[in-house]
Amino acid sequence: MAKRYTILCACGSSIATSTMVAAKLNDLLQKNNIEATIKKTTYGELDKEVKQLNPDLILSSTNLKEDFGVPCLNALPYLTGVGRAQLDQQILDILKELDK
Amino acid sequence: MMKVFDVLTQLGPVVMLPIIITLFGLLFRLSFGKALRAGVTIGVGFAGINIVIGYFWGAIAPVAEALAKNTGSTLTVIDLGWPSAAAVAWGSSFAPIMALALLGANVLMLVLNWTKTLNVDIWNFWGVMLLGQIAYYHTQSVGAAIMVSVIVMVLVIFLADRTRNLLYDYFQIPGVSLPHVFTQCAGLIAYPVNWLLDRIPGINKINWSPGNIQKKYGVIGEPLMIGLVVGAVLSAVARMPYQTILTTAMSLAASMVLLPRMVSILMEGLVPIADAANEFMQKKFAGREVYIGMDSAIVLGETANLTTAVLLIPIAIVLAIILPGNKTLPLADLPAIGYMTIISVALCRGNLFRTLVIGTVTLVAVLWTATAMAPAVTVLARQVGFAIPEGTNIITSFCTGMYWFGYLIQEAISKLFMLF
Repeated sequence: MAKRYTILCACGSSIATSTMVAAKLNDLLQKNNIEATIKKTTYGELDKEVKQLNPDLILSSTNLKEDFGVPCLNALPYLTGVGRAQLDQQILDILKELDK
Repeated sequence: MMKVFDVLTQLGPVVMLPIIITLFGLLFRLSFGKALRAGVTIGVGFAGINIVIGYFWGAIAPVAEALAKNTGSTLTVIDLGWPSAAAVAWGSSFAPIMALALLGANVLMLVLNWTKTLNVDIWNFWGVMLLGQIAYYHTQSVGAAIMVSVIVMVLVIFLADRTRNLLYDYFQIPGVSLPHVFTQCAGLIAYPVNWLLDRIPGINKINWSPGNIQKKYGVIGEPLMIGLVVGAVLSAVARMPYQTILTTAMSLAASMVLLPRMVSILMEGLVPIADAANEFMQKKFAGREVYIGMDSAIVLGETANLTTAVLLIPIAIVLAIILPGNKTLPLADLPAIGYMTIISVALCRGNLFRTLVIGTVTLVAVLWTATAMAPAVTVLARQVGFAIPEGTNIITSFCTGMYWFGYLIQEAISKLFMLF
């Protein structure tokens, strides 16, 4: 059975932009038959969530300077619509790499 | 026309929103299934928000009353948080018309070359929509309501153009600007205060770096902990029995975690519509150089900004107690202070001393505005069916006080309309 991933979507209040990002991510994963648990969180809680959930990938609405030891992508293309296809591909590549 | 609004309003937003949003979705060429799903999701989110607000209110209202009685506290306006304020704005029967007017105004500005900002941040229309609804509360005029929301939005879009390079230099966000009402209105205070700080000998040399304060004390910025601690401290100060102290602490922690979850369900319903509007707008202006207007959440997580926001939490509480004329008790919006510090952080290049001074000055305006808008917000919240019983306490959203500038414009236009 294929791996089930855990992906965190982080933004300011885990209300607006992380919901947009999570919706696009969900579309992408469904299209590619990838199973994942998507969790929304805030920047302030990210540190703790990473320790607790040990995610495979973080999608952040901000440029994160801190290194969480987890692949981390800026999800801005999902919000603006510019460069969405590239971000899709980056996510798929990272997840494929993890499955090896 | 007004009759239709009245009937819809009487049905309550849980029924009305799905109907209106489904129609709105069809207008943006979503399939019927998708549009209906979006509409019903928003209704579900609204029902959830209502349940949590009832719970939150049940926990905090007796404490605020006891606080007033036992300590002589004058903080009788309870902060229900911006997520609730956003739900009030989107829950109004005017919301879709206002949203169309706001999109139309932006299109016109772009066509006339007044701006480069293509604002696709539909969700945050709620801010100017709320100001418009406050104008409606004062004037009973739909014209005044739409005029207020459009004028404030236009000004905020201008400010987004003006601050775009500043924000790009510091936060390194390509191709976007931030027509976010919180951020831009609060930013208007940052410029003069920073100018003043530059001219005070000695003071203008102080430079504090954020270091790892956020990592060390970040825990106090977590909604869960804020709810727990503030709930316990407030009820203890109000001299409640220890059982009440424990239940209040837990109820407040629960509300602080649950409320944003419910609002994010409302947002889930809005996503397909926001996407459709985004696509429509981008197609219309394809091939032109534009800044895409975004939510400030895309820069909020920057270290200096988060650090400033965390350190401003205790300052906000102390200020609320000592500031003359303030009646707002900051609660649900304490984790949201970061939206008001963004421009100042970029302007002072993360100098913590300055961002804290500017933040404190901004908080004065925020507390006064939140107090001033409370009566209108309370009535509007009851109109959309929030479980806020009649009583001595009224509600506001502390952080919506960041709209001080937009609120003043609303006051001016409402006064003008009431003259005629």
